[in-house]
Amino acid sequence: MSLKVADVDRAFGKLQMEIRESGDKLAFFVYKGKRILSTRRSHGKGKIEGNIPHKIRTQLKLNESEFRELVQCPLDYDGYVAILKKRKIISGEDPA
Amino acid sequence: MVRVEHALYSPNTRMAIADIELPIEEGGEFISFPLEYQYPVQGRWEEGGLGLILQGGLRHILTHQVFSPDLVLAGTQQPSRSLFLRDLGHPKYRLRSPLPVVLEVDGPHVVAYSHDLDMFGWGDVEDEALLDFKGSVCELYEGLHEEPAKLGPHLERVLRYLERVIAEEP
Repeated sequence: MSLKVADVDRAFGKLQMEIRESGDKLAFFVYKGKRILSTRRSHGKGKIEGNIPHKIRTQLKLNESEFRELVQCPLDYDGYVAILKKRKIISGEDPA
Repeated sequence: MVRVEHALYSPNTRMAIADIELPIEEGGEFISFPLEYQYPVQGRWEEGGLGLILQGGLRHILTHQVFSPDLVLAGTQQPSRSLFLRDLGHPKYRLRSPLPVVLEVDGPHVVAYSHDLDMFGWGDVEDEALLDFKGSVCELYEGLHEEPAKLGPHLERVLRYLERVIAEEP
């Protein structure tokens, strides 16, 4: 699998991923003020190749078709939250 | 029932690593990759798939099953080797215990990956990948440590793991 860095950045933007001011390697997925998951950001502006897209996908707790939907646009923030709830990464009522 | 989301198999070492989804309780939903459920497994090729034998405490749940070959991702049969990191290359942090890392040649890159942390770094050569990985671990530790009360359960577990292996220099 090969992805453009710009596509991954756009996907992270859709998920409103948080980047720390003092770092640039990681992005955090935040839900109701809590950091839920972290994933690696990509270097450069070219392509992400080999198994790296797969590793980003597993950090986001998505299966292959869900990740494809995220990158190709149909999957949005609310859809992603629903997936994480289904997988018990986020519980139904929390975080407060 | 146990479901394998993906498996990585090295024909050189005849070892496999799989991310395994386990039912939380009977009839319950599947939980996906929480840290403590990521177990290294031994595997060997059999006709029709990869036979997986779990090591450690999950043996009673999954003793021996054959999964279809498509669970093994294309491109994962690359040369790889494991090593133990003994430092993070950061003046503020040291490792209390060595951190296991797998180095994989992955197309044009070398990837340094920690199964325990589900964290990786990459570069054009091994040293670059390890440096990138170490930087990611330090950044993750700092990111989680700055507001531990604002972490979800998964990142709380990651922070607990990091606090066990990382010591801050006085």
